[in-house]
Amino acid sequence: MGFKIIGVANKVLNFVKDRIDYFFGRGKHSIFVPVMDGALKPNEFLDNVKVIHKEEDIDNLVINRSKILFSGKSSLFSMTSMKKPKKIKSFSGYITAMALNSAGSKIAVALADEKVVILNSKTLKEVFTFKEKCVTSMCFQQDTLVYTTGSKNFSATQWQHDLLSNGSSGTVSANQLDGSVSKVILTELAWPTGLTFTGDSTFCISESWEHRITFHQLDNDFSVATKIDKEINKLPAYPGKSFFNTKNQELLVCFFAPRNQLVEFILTEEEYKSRMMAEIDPSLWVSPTYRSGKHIREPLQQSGIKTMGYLKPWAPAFSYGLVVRFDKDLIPLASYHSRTNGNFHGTTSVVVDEQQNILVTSRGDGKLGGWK
Amino acid sequence: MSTLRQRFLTARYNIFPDHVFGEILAKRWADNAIPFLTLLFVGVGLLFILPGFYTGYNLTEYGRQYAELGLIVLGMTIVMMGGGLDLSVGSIFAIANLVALYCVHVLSLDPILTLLITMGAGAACGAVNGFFIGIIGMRAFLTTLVTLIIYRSIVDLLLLEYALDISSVFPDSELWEYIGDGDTYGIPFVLVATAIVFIVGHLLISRMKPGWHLTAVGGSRRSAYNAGIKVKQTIFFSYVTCGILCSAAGFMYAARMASTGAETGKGLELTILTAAVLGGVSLGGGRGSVPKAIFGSLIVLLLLNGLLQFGIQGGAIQLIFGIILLLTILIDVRWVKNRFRLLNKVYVSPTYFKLPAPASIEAKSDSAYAVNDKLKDVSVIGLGKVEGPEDVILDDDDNLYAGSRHGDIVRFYGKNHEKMEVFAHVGGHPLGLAWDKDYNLVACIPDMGVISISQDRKVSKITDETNRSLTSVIDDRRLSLADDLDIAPDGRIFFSEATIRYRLKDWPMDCVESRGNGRIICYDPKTNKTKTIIRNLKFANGVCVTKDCQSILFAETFGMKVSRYWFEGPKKGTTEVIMDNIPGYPDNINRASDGNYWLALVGMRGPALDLALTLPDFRKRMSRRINTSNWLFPNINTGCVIKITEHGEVLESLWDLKARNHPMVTSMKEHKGHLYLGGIQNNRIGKYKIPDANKNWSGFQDYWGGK
Repeated sequence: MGFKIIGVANKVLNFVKDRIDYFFGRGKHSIFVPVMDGALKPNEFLDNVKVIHKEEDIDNLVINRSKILFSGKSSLFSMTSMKKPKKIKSFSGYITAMALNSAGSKIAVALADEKVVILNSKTLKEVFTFKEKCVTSMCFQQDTLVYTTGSKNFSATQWQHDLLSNGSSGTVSANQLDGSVSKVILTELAWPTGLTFTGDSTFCISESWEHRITFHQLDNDFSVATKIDKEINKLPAYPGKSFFNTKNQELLVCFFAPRNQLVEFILTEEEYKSRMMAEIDPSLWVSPTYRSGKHIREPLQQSGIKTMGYLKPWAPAFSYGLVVRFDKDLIPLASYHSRTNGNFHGTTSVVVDEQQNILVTSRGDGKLGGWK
Repeated sequence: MSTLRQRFLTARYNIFPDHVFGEILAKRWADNAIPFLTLLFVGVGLLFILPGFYTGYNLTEYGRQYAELGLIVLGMTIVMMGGGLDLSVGSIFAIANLVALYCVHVLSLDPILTLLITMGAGAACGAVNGFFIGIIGMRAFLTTLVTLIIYRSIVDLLLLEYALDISSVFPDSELWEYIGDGDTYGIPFVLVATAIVFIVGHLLISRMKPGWHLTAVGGSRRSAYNAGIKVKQTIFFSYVTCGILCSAAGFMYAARMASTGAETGKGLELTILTAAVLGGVSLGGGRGSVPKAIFGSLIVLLLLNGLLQFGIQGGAIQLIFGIILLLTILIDVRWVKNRFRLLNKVYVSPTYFKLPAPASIEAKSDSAYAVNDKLKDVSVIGLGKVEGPEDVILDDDDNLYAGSRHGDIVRFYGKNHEKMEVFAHVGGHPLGLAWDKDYNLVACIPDMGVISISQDRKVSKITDETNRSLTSVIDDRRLSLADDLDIAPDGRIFFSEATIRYRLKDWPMDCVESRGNGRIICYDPKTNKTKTIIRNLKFANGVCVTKDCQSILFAETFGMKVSRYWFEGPKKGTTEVIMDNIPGYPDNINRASDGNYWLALVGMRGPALDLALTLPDFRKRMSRRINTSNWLFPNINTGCVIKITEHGEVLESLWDLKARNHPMVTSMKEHKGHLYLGGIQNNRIGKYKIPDANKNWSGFQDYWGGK
């Protein structure tokens, strides 16, 4: 009985505290967005990088020695070092994630029409297929494909829907590619992506809606992963795909969209959010995006008003370009930006080639850029 | 959404006067609210606790006490407004008391002469304080603490010498007695005198130079110095004034009590300081007024006498006053610090505003608004030379005039308008421009009103105020955001005031509010009177006299509509909406050569903001929770020009979709086959060649005929 009263009192207190927090915008109702400072200090680096190739919706850079693959909508492209790429195959649906195995013999391609296809990299023939929804990143580990799914409810292209639904139904899974069912390793993640192995059994994932990158230790039979005490959180943008550079042990992470105070506020506004999602075309939502300012009916924030024909680079943005280099202890070393008025937004994937050139795709502006 | 919900939102946010709270808080007198309520509380409280408190004899007695107390508090207020502090008020009071008694009792001088001598002594004491603090620059606290002791010692020394002489004589002066306990129409004479001092003081402080200088010095010494105010002298004279007021109080006290007690004025500084701070005079300087001094001293007077009647001893009263002072300072500090934060959080008061989905603007649609790239080859005039040409106008010699945010009207001349000169400096950012029949350039300027510039560049004011409405808390007599104008054949100037609640730089904020704060105003040169014709418009903007010269068209930018108002003819006095639910935000309207009208759309509506307009509580929270620079705003980065008939039918639209050449259009004027485009956030003027336009048509000719 006594416990019951304490329990009820606790609930009431929590409710009151929650309402107070709601009124003042504190606690879980805080809409604070961390500032870009220190190693994340903004620059205009990405706006000035060499553009190697232009392709609409370019994404999913993967590399094996000198062979570089990437996707553009539903097509697969191949390229050797910094030379002109060529289209090698088309698929039935949008390509949402890709991986190459360490021998370079297999290509894994996840498609928006809910399947993952394994190709022989020489013949480009399909050798294996299995069903999976909303694959956001993949990685070969020996002969097993480890991958993240972003959400149970939406497809990989509907990441804005998942964000605005405060989604946290993503998983990390593994498929042996022998016809057996995928094993679910981690669940209830807020849009996991950027799965990258940094050691034999250690991998990191970007939990986008939690604005953090976490590290996990995988056991030998790909069924259990334990979180290890290495994490970076309170990031000022949504972390996406990443690349581990074995040569200098650095982790490169792409941030595909910036956090925005207005968006953080709208995430707490149930009525506005649900009506916006129900009544308005997604391209006109108040939401982060790969590229904003495409349509004149898009929402605008006060500082986004052009003054004297000039858009302020520090204006709050719905799209941004950001790649960050972390050392092996997740200390940020350097960052490369394309600011609000920049031309390299929606940075979705990054690789480092054998000559230590960094290649980045700007999905928002359809560009493949590279620098040494 | 249910209609019940709509009705609730309308009642809660459109009818309930939400905005008034912020407007009251924005008033300077809002500061007095807390002292006034405290006074009311104390006054009424005493009425119930001590039934005999307000009886006749008591009232007279309080009146006499108040006369003295009020003067000293006023002196303290003046010193504090200048950023100082005077702890020596009690000692100056005691000196004045002694001087007055000595003059009247021992020297048998005339009371008037005595008053002058006493005030001279007070002025001297104040001058010592003022010299050390104002001229030398010593700390007010320490200096007056020292003079408090010195003046007190002087009193003690003199008392040893003269106390017996004073108390042994009884003066024979009717005037002296009258000052001590005479009445004027039943009111103590001293109270009448103090009231006169208060009135004069109020005028000096709130309406005249000395008070403004004092407030400026107290508010920010450095700024005051930079503005050319003599800071040292101002501070010096504030202490002298305080000394004089204290001595006048001392003089009254002498006449009333004839007391040579050594206790006179001891500990008075605490009471006075409490009164001033309770009244809302800020310890930090720059904030204070006579009403504040009156409230503060009244509260203290009532408390003092109330506590005495309760039988509380002197020491305990000091203790209570100390605690009150501490609490008041605490509240004062928090209030000063947070008032404007609170104001920012509550000022924006959104309303419920629902519109159906607008007409399509998609390029593929057959809508008259369908986007195109007709404006992409606009030639650019004055790129980087002109900033913020909201409106443009041309004369018959093809000179191009535009306003700039530097407070100028600039003129472009030469064959392709490649040369620029400042035509006139007007001091504000000119918005709407029009010619009157004598070729004077008439301009609307925010915060200034409507002004006229003659051909020989003389700037003169036409009007800057209109009639005050009874229900508005904001003083809507002043024109705050005069926006666009047009002139009827009889010389009447019809102009719009976009909003009375926001300044020019915050103009899109009016959209977040969508309350209807704008109006259409008419100035009649025959009577030289200005009168508001239409109120409660959602950002009244473009105004254009129609060709029949019987009506005006006017746009409501954030109401997304254009209306027609008849000022002559059979429909005189009526208003009719001619365009509604426009897909963009209409701005200026001007005549076209073919008998139709050009209308600028400064930006396009987006569904995200349209939805927010139906959720006032959402916008209210947004304004409270997030920084203004992050607010959801109307998208005014790309707009267009449309041509409409006087019945509101849309004929065509001109777009610069990529917004490369001409990002924003707030205004356009047709002139000899070209359309000249202005934009309030632009650094250029656009020139578009209109296909098949009348090459001889000019605005001035169309309005006024030959030169």
